[in-house]
Amino acid sequence: MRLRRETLLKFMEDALGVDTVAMDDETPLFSSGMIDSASMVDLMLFVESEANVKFSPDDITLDNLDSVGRILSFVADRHHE
Amino acid sequence: MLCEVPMQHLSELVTRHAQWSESKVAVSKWRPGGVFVEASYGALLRKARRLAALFARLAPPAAIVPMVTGRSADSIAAMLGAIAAARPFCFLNTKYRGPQIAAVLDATGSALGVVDAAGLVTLRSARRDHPQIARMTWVVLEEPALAGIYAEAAEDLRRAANVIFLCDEHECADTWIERPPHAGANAAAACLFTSGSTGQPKGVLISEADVMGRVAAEVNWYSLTQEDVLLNILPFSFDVGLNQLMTALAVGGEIVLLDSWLPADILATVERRRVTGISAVPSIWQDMINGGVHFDKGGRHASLRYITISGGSLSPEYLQRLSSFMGGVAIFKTYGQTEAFRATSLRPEEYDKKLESVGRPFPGVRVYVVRDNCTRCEAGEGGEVVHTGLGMMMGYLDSREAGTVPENKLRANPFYGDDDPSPLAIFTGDMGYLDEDGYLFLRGRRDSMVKVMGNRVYPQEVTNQVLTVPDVREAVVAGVTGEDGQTNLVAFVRVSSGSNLTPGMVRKMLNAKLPTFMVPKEIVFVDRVPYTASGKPDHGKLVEGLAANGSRAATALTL
Repeated sequence: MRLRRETLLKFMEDALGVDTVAMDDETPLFSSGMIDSASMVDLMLFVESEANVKFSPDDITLDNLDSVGRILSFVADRHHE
Repeated sequence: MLCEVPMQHLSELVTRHAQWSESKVAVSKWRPGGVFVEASYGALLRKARRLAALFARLAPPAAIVPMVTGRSADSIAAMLGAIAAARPFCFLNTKYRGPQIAAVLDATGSALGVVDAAGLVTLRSARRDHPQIARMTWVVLEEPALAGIYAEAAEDLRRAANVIFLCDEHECADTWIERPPHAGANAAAACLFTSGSTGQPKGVLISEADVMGRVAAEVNWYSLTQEDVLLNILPFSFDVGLNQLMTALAVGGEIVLLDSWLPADILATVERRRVTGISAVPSIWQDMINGGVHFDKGGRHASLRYITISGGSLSPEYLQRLSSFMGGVAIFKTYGQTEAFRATSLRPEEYDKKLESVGRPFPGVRVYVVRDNCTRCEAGEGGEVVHTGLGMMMGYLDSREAGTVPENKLRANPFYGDDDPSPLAIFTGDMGYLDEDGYLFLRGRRDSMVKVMGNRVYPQEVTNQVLTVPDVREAVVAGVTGEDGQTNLVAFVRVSSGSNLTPGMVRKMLNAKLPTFMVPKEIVFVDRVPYTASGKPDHGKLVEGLAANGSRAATALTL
């Protein structure tokens, strides 16, 4: 399954309380403090179940999750493998 | 133990370190792409002095300065500036949105606040419904110029409110402003917000003497020196994260800011910055254990001396696994509350012997376990945990009249006298007992005790057992009271994806470990356990989950 940008943004809006209206694909999410790192696991679980991928704790890092663009391309890479 | 940190305020200590070694790294922060941006003691001091001058000019004496900021060298400079200007600082939980931010601003009554780039975006969404945001002056920390959505958010706030960009300020930064006369050890230095069971943020005021007492005690407890590099992953709005930051700066060490709770990031950061100590909450260690990720104390992570388990506990099974998994890294358990910082801590050398204990009283603290009539319990007898001495708050922010605050934990000290000079005590609301050796064991919250078929049960004790079931990743047990007034235990459980576990299997395993009345009547599998902004299980969402599960209507939920 592909992870859709709209689905991801809606989750961030509804579950994490982030104002995504003006956000672009490069906006840092965690390193800017916009999303609390305690919510990281929530976001990861959502992406895993939505895209039907499983991340290994060895390779899932902040670099993969810190913006909408990074999340989408990380998931796309997983599917490609 | 000798106190090595003299009673100077933190900004004075930072000044000393900057004079001694101006280029020494004080703060480093992870940035996208894996680069650590560093700030020296000298740079931190110069920025803090500019902010102190700004606060002294724009905020009335003793006014609380709310900070809608993440963790960065800039927000640390703002904290130091506020301390030097004797304006109590208040980091807001970054999970806070409009309603909580408005509640904090109403409580502090502040006319001046501090905001960073992400905070600007939060304020833009919040200010539509909460006009008090626009009635204030906001100091924007970011420099150089903001771009993209941050610039738009800054422009939005500038149109509505009075906004000052720090980069436009050219205050003299060679010295500190003169400290105002109201300053002193007994004045408030910090304000932390805690959310009671009502969910409404409640301000807790901490004096300068207590702030520095906490720092001195923790410096001794973890044997910190200027060689230490502490990994900060906890928010500054949380007393454990804040005290870690302050101790690192007090000894002239380095604080490494990482906005990730992912095991791979923590491991990589320890290796790259040669981290010596980590303060963390239990779920971080639980994720590492579940992920099978290890520290390599003999190699890549040789610098790591200690870790802490703070702000909650792990199940006995995880505690045992953590010990073998840490391979020689010292483990400290700490227990405390926002109203009383740290009550007890379990030292590494006691870990295996008293695994399930939270340890003995922290330096400067007295801990009592009392019955309902305020007399002391015998060893092994359960009662409420009472804290006096170091770490006690001055009081709540919203009302200086102690008697009028709902759920006030500050009350007359029943043991006030020659042996205990504190007239007031913190009644923690936590239930537990002291063993014959004086170690504290916790059972649950006073207000969470439920009666199931006439038996007293603390849902937390059941939660610990549910967490020992293989494939259970997360669990919350609640006492659910139905319309008939009967209370049953319900377990909300998240299992590993791909697991074949069924609720029936969980119940069967619990039956083998617990007396019948402690086995949850209902076991509900959930995709995730919902939490509130303060990290506590969300009652409302759990009740919704019950309804969705087709369970009987709940009138009350006790966690």
